[in-house]
Amino acid sequence: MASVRLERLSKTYRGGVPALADLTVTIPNGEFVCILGPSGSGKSTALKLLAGIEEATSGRIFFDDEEVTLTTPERRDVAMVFQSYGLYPQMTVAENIAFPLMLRKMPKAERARRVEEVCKLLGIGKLLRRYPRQLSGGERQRVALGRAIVRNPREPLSNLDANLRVSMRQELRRLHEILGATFIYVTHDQDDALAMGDRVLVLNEGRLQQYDAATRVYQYPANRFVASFLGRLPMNFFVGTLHTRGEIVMFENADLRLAVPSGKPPAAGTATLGVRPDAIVVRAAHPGDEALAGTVRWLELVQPDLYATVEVGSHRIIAKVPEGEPIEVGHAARLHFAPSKLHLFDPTTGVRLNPPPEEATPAGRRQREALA
Amino acid sequence: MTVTTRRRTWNPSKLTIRGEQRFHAVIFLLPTAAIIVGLVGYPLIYSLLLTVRGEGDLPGELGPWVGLANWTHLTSDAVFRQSFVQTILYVVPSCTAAVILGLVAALILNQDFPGRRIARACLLIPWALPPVVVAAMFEWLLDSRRGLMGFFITQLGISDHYPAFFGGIPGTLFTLVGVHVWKTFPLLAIMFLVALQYLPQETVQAARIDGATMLRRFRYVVLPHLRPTIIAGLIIELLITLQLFDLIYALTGGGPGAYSTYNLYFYAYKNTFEYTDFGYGAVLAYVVSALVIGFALILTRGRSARSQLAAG
Amino acid sequence: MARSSRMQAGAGAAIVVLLTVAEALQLGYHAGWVFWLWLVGMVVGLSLLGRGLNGIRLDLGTRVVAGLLALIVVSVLLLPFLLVIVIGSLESRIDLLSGAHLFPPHPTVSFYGELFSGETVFPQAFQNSLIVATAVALFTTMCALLGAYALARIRFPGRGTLHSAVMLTYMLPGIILLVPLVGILKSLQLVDSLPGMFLGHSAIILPFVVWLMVGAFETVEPDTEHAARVDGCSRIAAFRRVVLPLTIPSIATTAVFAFLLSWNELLFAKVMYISQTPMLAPTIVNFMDPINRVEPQLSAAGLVSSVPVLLLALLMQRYIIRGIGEGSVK
Repeated sequence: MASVRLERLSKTYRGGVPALADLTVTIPNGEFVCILGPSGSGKSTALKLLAGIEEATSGRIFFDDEEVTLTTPERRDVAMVFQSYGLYPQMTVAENIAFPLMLRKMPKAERARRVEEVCKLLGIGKLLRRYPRQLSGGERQRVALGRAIVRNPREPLSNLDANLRVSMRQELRRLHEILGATFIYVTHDQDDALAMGDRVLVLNEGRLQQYDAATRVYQYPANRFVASFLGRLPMNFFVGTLHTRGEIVMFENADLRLAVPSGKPPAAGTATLGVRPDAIVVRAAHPGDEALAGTVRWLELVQPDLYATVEVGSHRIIAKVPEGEPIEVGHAARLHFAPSKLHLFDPTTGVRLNPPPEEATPAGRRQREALA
Repeated sequence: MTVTTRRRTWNPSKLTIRGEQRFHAVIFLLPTAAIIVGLVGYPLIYSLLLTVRGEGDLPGELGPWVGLANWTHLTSDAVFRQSFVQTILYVVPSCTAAVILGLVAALILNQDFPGRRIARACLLIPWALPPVVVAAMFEWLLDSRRGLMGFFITQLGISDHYPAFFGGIPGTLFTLVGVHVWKTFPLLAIMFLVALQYLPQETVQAARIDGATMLRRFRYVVLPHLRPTIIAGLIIELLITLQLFDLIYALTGGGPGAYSTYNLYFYAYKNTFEYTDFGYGAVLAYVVSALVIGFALILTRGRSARSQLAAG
Repeated sequence: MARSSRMQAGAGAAIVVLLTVAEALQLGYHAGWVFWLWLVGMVVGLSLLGRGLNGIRLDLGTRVVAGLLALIVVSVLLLPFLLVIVIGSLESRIDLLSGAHLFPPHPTVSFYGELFSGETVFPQAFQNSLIVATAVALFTTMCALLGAYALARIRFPGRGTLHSAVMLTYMLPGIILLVPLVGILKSLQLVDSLPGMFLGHSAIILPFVVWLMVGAFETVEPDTEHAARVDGCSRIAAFRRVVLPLTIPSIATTAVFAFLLSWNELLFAKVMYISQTPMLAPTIVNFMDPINRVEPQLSAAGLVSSVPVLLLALLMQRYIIRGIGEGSVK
């Protein structure tokens, strides 16, 4: 029910290490945003600042253009689901869910009605009389969710920090659709983030890495960290130099030479090339095949695909084995790179060097420049 | 460059996060802080001053500055040395005996037998009893002419006369150690019992299957598991025994003889309240405090020994 | 296999019984060595018995031996109190002269009557201690409640220092505060008065109580409190509605501890007592004075003094044991 705007939000705890640095981001009203990052990246801190449980060291927070940076949590009208659920042990499930309504002095009948609505939504009707300690983890999750949404707050926040089962993910998205509020979900699990979020906000060490639609974060990572953090298999990285051959920019190092088409990469200089394993195809060596040659060292099944580790010079490259391809350990093979899925990064800063298509949006460009 | 406006109002409904924290901190802490500063902090400093001042006009008042005379007196005071040594004589046997007895009691009471709950409840008795009642109890029990202890000892044939528990030097001191251990070992037993609840049964079963006898199981499974609790128990007993006073005062008054059952705490009491040498008494009190706090800080780094003063 | 177990058990039982009979028989003869033989025999016999019974049915032996040993433990814990205090108070004057015996031939409760008759200060001491201990328990617990919550959960400047200060002060032996404390009370004209006792005990006991409560608050999940804030509670409302209910057992236990400490306290009570406010502990010590000592009366006083604290300990035993255990297991 409100957009969220963060302006240079920073938080440093006693002891000096900044948990969050200079976070600037706008989350439009009604979006489902996932904050993704490894532990210590500041995502829990961001959530606490949004909820008002912690006070920012500097920067500002706006809900719908109303500044809430210093407002105490009870006046912010956010709702939050905690990592440990934060259910009140001494109250029944019904009392837990009704609690926010009771604080707002809602009459009993109305409270009961809302609680029932929420329970129907989440399927926890039969748990109403039980106590939190009698519930399973999944049930507690739902009760916590129920309590969070029962008053239709401006911002529901969530810090579940756990791999959600597929069904739970669908539930959350369904809730989002029904309520239409702005959901902010924090996780370290990229599957969660990519599956649920309209947009993904990637954090590392307190700094914003990329804020983009989920698909774009995966397909066009803004820097090396994002590239290596997302993706089930580790990305292949190569260090080399760029030079132009006619119209095309070439990437070259001791073992390989590849053309990097489109995307306007810089014409010269050193770069790190990143390619996901599923963007490289391994084929058995055929005469006449001019692709990169190497020897297969290892085969691994990462459902549902087979991946091979191919040794090329000093590199060990992980690539996908197409179905039916006769690849065997110890044999020679050829690697075919998908030209549109090559990512170039600055070797020192890690910033992306070949901008993705439609890189015309000023916001995106500004973002990239801000990260440099 | 952002300028964050912090509203400096004290109206609770308009407070910022940090402002509210400070406001509440003050309100919540006011009564406690007032008492601690006024009735604990101030006396502490006053006592410190007492150590470096002589006699005042009225007893307890600060007199003229005498420098470190009271402190240097420590080095030449034979009674101080004796009290110090005797404090160690109290502490070492008490700690050993209390831990061993506590361990034994816990191991026994950990088993499953009818009436187990009642037996465990009995552990609380010595802990809850007022020390003076314990003193009265044992004074009668160990009386050298008509005490029941002597009665049993002669009846059982261990000896042919009632032993003089409160007569000998240094015997009396160890009698006091015995009484003190009676009062404190159940506390340790409770600690061990609770720790034993957390003993992972799988490890015990595994040892059984491996063929370990009860003794072996104890040595290789139970004892290592209890190690932190044993250490905590030793520390607690140490701190309690360092401050032993009530029993000494009630049972022997420091005797028999001149100082045979003195410890530092008792000697500090004597100087302050009977010899009315407040300066020196304060010095001794500080020595005892330094020992207690010193040991507590050094030994409990990272551990919490919460109930140490509960028994004394 | 079963036979050898039964033999073991039988042998063990035989040793235990025979030696005990022998020991009982020598009662008249004072042959000291029999006792030591009995002791050794007990160990051997009980182990055999235990092992044998274990062979017959799982853990039966362990349970039987443990039960027997537990009897010894309980006797050690109970008997001194029972014999001296409970039974001792029932002795009559005649019995005192007849030497040592287990149970008084002519039990009487006359000494209880004498105790409360108004000739001694005991009734007044009992009442005073009751008033002071209750007041101290309530007052310190309430102060500590607030202060400990602040220390445990509110971030404010100087928090670390204050926390360390509380930690240090609770470990202080009382004697170091006594003289100045009495001085302060003297200037307030509160020496030898109940309010003075109350203040002094509060000063001595408060730091410890605060420390106990800080631990209790730290065990409450911070997220539960945060959830209450986000749901709409102000900090005070969250404290009242969510945190406090969760810590009620600890609060009760702490109050009991505070009561115990005040009730049992000797030194301060003695120093402050001149003529007006006798307190329990010093009064009992006075009863122990050999000059006017009347043993059964002392025992009666001891029993009456112990009843309140024993009752409290019994009522709260589950929480007390948990509190002691948690403090050491962590």
